[in-house]
Amino acid sequence: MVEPRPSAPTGCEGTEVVIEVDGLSMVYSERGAETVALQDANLSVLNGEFVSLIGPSGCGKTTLLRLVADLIQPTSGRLEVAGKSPRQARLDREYGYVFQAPVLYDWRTVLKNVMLPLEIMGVPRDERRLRAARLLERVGLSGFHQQYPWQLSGGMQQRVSIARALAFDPKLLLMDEPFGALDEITREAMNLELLRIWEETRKTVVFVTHSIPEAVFLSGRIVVMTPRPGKIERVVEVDLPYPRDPETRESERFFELATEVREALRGGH
Amino acid sequence: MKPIWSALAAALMAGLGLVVPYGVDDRSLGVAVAGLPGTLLTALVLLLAATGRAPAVALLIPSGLAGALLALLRLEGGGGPGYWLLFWGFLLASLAATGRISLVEADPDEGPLLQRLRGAIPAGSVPLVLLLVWQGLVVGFEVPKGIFPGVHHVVEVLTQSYPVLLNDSYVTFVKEVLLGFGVGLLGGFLVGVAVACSTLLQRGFLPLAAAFGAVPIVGLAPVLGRAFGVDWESKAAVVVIVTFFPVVLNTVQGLVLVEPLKLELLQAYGAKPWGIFRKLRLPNALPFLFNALKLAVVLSVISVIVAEFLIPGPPEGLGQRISLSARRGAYDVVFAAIFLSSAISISIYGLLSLLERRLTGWHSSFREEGA
Ligand SMILES: Nc1ncnc2c1ncn2[C@@H]1O[C@H](COP(=O)(O)OP(=O)(O)OP(=O)(O)O)[C@@H](O)[C@H]1O
Ligand SMILES: [Mg+2]
Repeated sequence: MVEPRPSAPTGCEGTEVVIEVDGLSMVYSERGAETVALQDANLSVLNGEFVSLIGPSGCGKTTLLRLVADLIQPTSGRLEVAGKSPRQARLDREYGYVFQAPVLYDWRTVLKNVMLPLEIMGVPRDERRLRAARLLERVGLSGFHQQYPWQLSGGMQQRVSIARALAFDPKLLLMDEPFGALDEITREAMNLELLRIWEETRKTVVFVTHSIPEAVFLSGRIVVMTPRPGKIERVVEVDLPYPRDPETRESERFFELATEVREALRGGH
Repeated sequence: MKPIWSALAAALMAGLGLVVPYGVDDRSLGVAVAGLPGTLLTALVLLLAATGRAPAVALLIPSGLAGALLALLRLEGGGGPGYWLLFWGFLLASLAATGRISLVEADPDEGPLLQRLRGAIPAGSVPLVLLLVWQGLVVGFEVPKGIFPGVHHVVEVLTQSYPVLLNDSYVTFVKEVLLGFGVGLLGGFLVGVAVACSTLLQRGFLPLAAAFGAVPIVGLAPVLGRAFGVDWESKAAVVVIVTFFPVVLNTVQGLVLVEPLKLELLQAYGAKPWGIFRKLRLPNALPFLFNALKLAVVLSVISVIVAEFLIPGPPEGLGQRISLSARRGAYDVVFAAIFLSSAISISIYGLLSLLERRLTGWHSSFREEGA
């Protein structure tokens, strides 16, 4: 169903399906009121793909991500992650999750927060430290190892949470608006950094965003969602060649694609 | 900075004390002993204080207190108008200066020693003033020791009968409070963990524990005395019960009330229940636990003293010392015992607060200072 992107680097990319979403629905019922957060969603994410979910607030982006992460159970439909049930995938630590809020432990220093998943996974102490320090450097927080989360700005906290998700090197990254709290300049820098990491490691990334330019700049495919009930409206293929750099944002094709996404978003109303 | 008008007025009072009769029957002694050095010192410091320098204002406090103390040296016969003028004059001067010094804004140039002094002065001089007022009233009105002892009587007891009082403190605080506290804490924590792990216990046990927290346990003291004997064991049992319930309740709350997202984070890592307990629930419960402990210390000390009243056993322990001495009118001993028990419980409380700050310094209640 999805062709390998013609311009993508070859070699690391398979046709292996990492996330298989098949007729997935999620209905929240609270005190008699029912919210259809996700209705009959169908989607396949291939190994090494960068896929964005975009849509207005309340269209079920977080819900879809949480279903994949086995943090909630679907009302109906089938879901497979890395060829397993979501629960098994979670227990096998197949994915790293960046929450919409930073969710740092306030009794741990920045360094120790990044080391948390490694502690759970029983990585030896010295290696924990080494890996956490390296990732903090990647997100530009080298000088903040011993600070506590509340001593950092909101954007810095979110960068810590990204470093934490990358710490155990998961093959699949689920990112829920990771850069939502950042200013435009830091955001673009982080976009580039994430793209570098992705190009190097070829992780599969599912990335939630509200920003059309961000989605176009980063993704190979953009899943456009619409609310009430939350559903997948369209999938836009982004045929901009990788590796991308800041100039990509100025290209004509970039604007065409942004317009296409914008129209798809409007189409849901 | 303005000269300190209140301090000036106070010094005027002290000065006036020089010319009116000091005691009920004589004045010369008071003038010689209390009036002159005190007034001279105050005058000197006031001169400096008028220039508005913080260290000078600070000097006014000890000199005022010293003056008031000197006035007290006259112990024979009640105080005349001169005595009261001198006494209140000096006290007011030192209080005014204390108020002044706590209002002075920190000067970035001043050394750390001076800054620390500025913090310690108001905290230190208020209790001193209170002691002086007590002593001043007792001396000035010649209150007999059998009705209300002076500070010097209490000091006398403390210095002369300290072996007895030390043994009393040992029995009350080490054998009864510390042991009971330890057992109550450990038991309460373990039960709290068990309750947190089980929905059944949370539904069934928790409301009961909450209700028990409201029972005035010391009322059970006579019953416990029957069960555990009249020696220290029954009093330790009171402490165990008093400590147990707040620790259970707070442990459960701390373990259960974790932010859902923080829990999901660990679940996303496929963490096992033990990992979730160690990495999330336990640290989350720590601030709750310390709140319980601080509450329990206060409750324990009160309860143990009252329990000693209610279960008379071998004549040991601060509570028994208080009740026995009160019965024979030895109020100086009563005050000495009260002083010792509050000093010790304040120290325990302070130690706990220190430990709390070290272990849960990350908690929002400490953040202002950490930032
Ligand atoms: N735990 C819940 N209980 C009940 N309703 C919920 C719950 N979580 C989400 N919803 C509802 O489901 C819908 C989709 O929510 P979701 O969080 O997936 O939106 P979203 O696309 O992530 O929005 P945003 O961009 O604001 O983060 C919303 O209407 C929301 O009210
Ligand atoms: Mg969301």
